[in-house]
Amino acid sequence: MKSQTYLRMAAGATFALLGLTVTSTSSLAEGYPSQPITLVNPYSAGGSADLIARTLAESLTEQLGQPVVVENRPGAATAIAATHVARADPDGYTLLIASAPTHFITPVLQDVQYKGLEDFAPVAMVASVPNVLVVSGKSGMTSLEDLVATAKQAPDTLAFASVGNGSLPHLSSVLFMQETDTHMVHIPYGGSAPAVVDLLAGNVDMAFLNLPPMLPHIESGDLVALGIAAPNRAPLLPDVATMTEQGLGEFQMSTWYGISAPAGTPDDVVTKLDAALHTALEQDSIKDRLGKSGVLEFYKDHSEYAAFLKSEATRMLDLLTSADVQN
Amino acid sequence: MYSDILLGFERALSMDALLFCFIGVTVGTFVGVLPGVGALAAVSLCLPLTYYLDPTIAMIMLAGIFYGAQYGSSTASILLNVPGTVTAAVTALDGYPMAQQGRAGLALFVTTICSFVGGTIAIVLMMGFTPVIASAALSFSSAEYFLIMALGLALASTISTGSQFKSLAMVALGLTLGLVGTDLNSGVSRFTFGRIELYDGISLVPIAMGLFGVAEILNSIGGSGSRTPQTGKISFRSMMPTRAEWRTIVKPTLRGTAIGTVIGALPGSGATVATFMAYAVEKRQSKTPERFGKGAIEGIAAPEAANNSAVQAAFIPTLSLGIPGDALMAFLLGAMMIHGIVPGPRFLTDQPEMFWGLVGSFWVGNVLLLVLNIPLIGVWIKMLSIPYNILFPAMLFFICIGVYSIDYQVFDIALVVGFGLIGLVMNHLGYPPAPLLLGFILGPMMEEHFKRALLMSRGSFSIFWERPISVVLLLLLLALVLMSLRTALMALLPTSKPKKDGK
Repeated sequence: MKSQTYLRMAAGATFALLGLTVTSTSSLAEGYPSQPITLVNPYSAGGSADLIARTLAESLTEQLGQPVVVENRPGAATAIAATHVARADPDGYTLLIASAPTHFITPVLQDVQYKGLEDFAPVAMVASVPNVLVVSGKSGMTSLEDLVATAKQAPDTLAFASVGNGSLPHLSSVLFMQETDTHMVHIPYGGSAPAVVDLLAGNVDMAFLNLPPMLPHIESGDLVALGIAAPNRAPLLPDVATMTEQGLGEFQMSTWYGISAPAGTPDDVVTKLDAALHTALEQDSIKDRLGKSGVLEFYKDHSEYAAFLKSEATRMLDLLTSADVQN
Repeated sequence: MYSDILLGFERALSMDALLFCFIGVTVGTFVGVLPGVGALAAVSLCLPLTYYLDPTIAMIMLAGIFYGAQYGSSTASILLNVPGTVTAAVTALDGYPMAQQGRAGLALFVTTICSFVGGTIAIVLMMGFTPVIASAALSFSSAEYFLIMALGLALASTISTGSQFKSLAMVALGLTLGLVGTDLNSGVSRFTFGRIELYDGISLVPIAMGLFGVAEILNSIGGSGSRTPQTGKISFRSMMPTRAEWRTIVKPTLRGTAIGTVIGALPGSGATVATFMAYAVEKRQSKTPERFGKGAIEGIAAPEAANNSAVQAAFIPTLSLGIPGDALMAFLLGAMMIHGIVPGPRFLTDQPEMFWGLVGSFWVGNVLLLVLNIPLIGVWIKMLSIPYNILFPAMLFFICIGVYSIDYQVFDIALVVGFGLIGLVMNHLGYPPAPLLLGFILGPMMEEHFKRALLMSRGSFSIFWERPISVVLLLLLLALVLMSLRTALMALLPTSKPKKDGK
């Protein structure tokens, strides 16, 4: 009799424990977050991505009641950060500042230990930085027609700068050459700073680069802005027409940033994070802080973001193929 | 302009500016002393704080960390042969022998003074000629950079004592190690063995810390602690150079400053190249080059002046063109952009208060560093009286933390240990680590600029002699090579029985 009660008690305890574990997995979001969250940034401290990460982390910390810590893990064309997050536990405690390189460009170009898009659960799209087509002030070109005409005269008389093989500036120029049926020499640089030096000096003719750091050179006339490679004109440079307005098709080559979690992260965790990000990006103080350095709020919820990623992946792959970038 | 300068000093001498300048340079000094912990890690940690500060004050603090670290970095390299930053590896070449001879106080005093002089002269040049220097920097492109790197390489074998062949072998090894990583032009990864940590090449800091710091610590294992620790009180008098020593360091300091300012102001080269070049030039033109590497006081004066002036001059392209020369400058630029300030050609006229306030604060900061560092010398030397079985494990610990803090990569710790072992073997066989480091720094830059110059010229080599500056550099390079050949031949010819140096 006694032993039976013990048995029953033991069984009850076991069931209770089991029940506990079951409930805790099924409604993870209720207790989420119960520990600090790490937001991994694949770019170095001080850049646009870093600003976005830190600004959002601050608001998320307030909203979620747990510290959200930014960790910069630059290197290997974003592969170091992306691999780290792709392999992390899908529990919502490790998040990635996502961009075109993390999700589709680097996995194609480099021999990395993650596959790309399918390794991530999209949380939300957060921001974008417009890119601008600039030519050297020394080139004497003042309009897109000038540039196309010069490029058409003879192939490879002009050269374009990029920040590396398969980088967005490279792919933008590849798209440009496709749309205008021209060919130019590709000169890759280790970053946009040395590329700008050669653009200013007229050693290289054109480039698609992030607009904000170019602004003082455009204002001083050392660089000439010929078009915005984004769907809308840039608030920082309202007089410059978009590439699309100037007849270059759907020329959308903005640098976008989203937030992604490891694939398999529970839906309710994703939804909760998405909602918090949405609230953050509605705040004027955050929009202001980003806007000051030329970063535009560009919110898409997790399903729109997922759809965007899918269509971007195909488009970028096509461009990479025609750019003929080797692994 | 005078009113602008006055305005700047007024800003730099206001209470808040003084306070944050002091915080910056103090943090910088300590960060510099700790091996491997770079200024970049420190400024990244302070970045969130700057959101809430006035932009000028924020920049004053961040910049203070940056140049303060250069002051501090020579400390551990002189006392323990463990460089705080890569540039301080050069100071170790003569600074460490000086410490072993019991002249650590003097060495630290001289580095502080030379740092001050180098930094200050660079600031004066910056005040007077920023726009001129900035536009001159634009006439340097890949062809010129390639030739500057080639000049550095031609000087490379000079920087060590002992066998020239061993030095050259180490330069070659350094160049080879520099091949690791993704090729910028083709995107092909070379010798990475599928490790993503190697895609950007082997990191510089683990190599420098391994070959110098870790190797030195490993080397001391089993040693009887035969160092000459400076005992007793360090009097101010014992740190002061004698009249003759003052005379010896004047010219090297000025030459070092000149090299540092010119190379530092070019956005494509940086303080490390400048420091190595200053040392090599000093040794080359010395009448007694054999003293170098054995505690020659000029051997610490020139590179210290060079690295501090280079660090100050690096602000010229950053502030007047908006073009950062390295990761740290890029970071400072980013910190300004957070406040909506984009440095560029009009920064000087649009934001005179910020520009001159910042430049003024460099002055203030350099004076503060002088005041801060000289009394600290005694404290640092006391470090040597810590028993080595406590001091060295602590140093290893700091090296590992420092190297890890750069990119949060455990792989870098493995690298620092690996290069420590390699350094140990090299040390035993008499192969000097400095030429390896120089080859490793110059190799990838040379390759990149060589290829880019040829892309610009669409494949024609004439680009190297068609541009005015490149012609001058090319002639310099030729002269240097011919001179080296002559000395090599002279050494062979007259004495048929060559005296072998080394055993």
